[in-house]
Amino acid sequence: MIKQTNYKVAYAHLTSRVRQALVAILSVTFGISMYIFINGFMTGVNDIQAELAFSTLPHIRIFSDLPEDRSNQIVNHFRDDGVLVNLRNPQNIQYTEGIKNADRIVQVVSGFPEVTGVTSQVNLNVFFRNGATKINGLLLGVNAASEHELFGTGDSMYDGNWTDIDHRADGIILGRGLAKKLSLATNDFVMVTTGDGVDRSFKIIGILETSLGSVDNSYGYVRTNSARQLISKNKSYATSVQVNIKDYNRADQVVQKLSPLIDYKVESWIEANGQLQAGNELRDYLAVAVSFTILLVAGFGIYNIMNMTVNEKIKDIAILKAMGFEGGDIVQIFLTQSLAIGFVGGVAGVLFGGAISYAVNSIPFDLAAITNLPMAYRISDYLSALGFGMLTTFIAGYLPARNASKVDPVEIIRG
Amino acid sequence: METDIALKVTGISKYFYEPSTFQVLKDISFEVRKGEFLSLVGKSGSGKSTLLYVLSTMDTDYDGEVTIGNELLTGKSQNYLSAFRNANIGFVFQFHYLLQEFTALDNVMLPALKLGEKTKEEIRSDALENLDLLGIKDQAHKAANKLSGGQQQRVAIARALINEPSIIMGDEPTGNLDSKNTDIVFDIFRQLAAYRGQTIIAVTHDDEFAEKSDRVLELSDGMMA
Repeated sequence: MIKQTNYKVAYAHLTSRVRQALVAILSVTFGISMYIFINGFMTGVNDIQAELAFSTLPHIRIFSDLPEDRSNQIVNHFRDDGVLVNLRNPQNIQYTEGIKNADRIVQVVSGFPEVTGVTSQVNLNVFFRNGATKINGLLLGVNAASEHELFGTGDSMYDGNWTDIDHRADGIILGRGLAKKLSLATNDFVMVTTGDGVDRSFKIIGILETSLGSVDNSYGYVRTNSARQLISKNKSYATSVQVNIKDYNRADQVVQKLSPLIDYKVESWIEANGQLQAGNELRDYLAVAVSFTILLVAGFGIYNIMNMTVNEKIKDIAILKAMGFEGGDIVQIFLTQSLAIGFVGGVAGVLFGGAISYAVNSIPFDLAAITNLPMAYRISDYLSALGFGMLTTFIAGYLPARNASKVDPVEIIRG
Repeated sequence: METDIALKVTGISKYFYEPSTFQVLKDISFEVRKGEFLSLVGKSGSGKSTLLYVLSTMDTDYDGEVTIGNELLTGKSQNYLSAFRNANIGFVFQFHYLLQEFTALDNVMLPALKLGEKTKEEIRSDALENLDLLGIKDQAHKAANKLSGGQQQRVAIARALINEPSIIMGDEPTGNLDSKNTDIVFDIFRQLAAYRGQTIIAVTHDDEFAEKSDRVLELSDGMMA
């Protein structure tokens, strides 16, 4: 009953100053909708960035690295008193190139539940030649199906059919920029020369156009075995095994599980492309900084308005205290008001934030592979916006409420 | 013997420190009997209102002791005193001090809702009864700021009575009223003291009002004259 009475007083205060309450609600609405928009936008940018990056980059790459530097073991062996060691020109010798038994690795990796796709590639630097034109590029021996599964390469065909690569041992798919530079089109022949001087002629069966310059201007795709033939390698040979997992943010953890099972170097995208991760994290920090600034401003708005209310209603406070209302009741009365403002403003802010996000999402933005400004709609953003909004209003409302509870009724009543 | 005393103060002294130290109450001691109608009079600045607020338990910054009923209230916590005021003391101030957004009825019900001893329906009927006693039952559902000064003061009295306090304190309860309304308020106080045995302590400037009360305490320069 007592609480009900406090609510009633709070309600009377709020409704006696509809205009001010509305301004306070709008400041919360604005803060929360901006919080949602900024976070959604930044996440959208991160997602699109990841999508673009992972159109050629696997989440995890397994390849043959130089062996570990073991020269320190020799030095340590002689670490006795009075012995000076000078190890001259130590070298790590790589006995094997590439992965000899890629099939086994593919089999092992496929067994992991986190893994969504595995493919092995045979990559080599080559010259693409057409008559006198000679262009340095990368030849990728791939399995059409699993390559597409990882990178969606088949969706970027400009001309021809991606899966044809599996059916023709002499077929090659060139990046569009590369084909242009070589003045070649579908059904023409291109000469490929390896570093060891092996020549082979391939028939162009398709043209690929991704949004990535590096792919379009220098990549050629052939069937895995054709690439192996060029460098005279065995059937299970691959230069790298590429793995995609469910959540690319967990790549490091999956790498830790895979490493002990595989004799080769297992590397996550985070390790290989630190700048991507750094960009993502910096954008996240930026989003947090901006959205908290906005919430802080909204908080100050509420603080200000609640302080005004306390000053305006100071006679009410005095009379309530004279009648026996305690400090806690007064805090409750004013805190109820600010929380009501926070809740109404918060719900409106969530709706409005969703609307802004949708509107911005619809703005055309034609660059690389995107057509609209990116936007993410995550439930967690909306919930945390509401949560932080309520927290801000709680703090911004509590301080004036506490001041109100300390009002000395004698001073006010005596004037 | 003990039970006959409604309020007892011994050796009350109080100082104001701003702008310079000044002793506003000097060693005041007196007793008030139950059902007594006491007027506190004195010139402006004599300390009579200050004394009333010490008695009211709202002002705790004094030396000496205040006992209401059998209970020593000096040194109790603010929250305890709030609850005590709520149950035992009713207030009527010079400028009526109603919650302006609330109706007359809501204003009257407020202290009882805070006390929480009765159901809302009981409180409601008590409040209407009190308003009826003061002759303003027809104004019960009007917002406080729509009432005249005399009506507001009567609502304030009805509110002071709602918890059936043993003591009713008034700070110039008629200071803002014309002679007709002053008479009405005085008669109400008179009846409360006589028939309900409630103790009335009122600070007043009005000599006529004071003369008609049971006892007059005059303060002069912080001392009882």
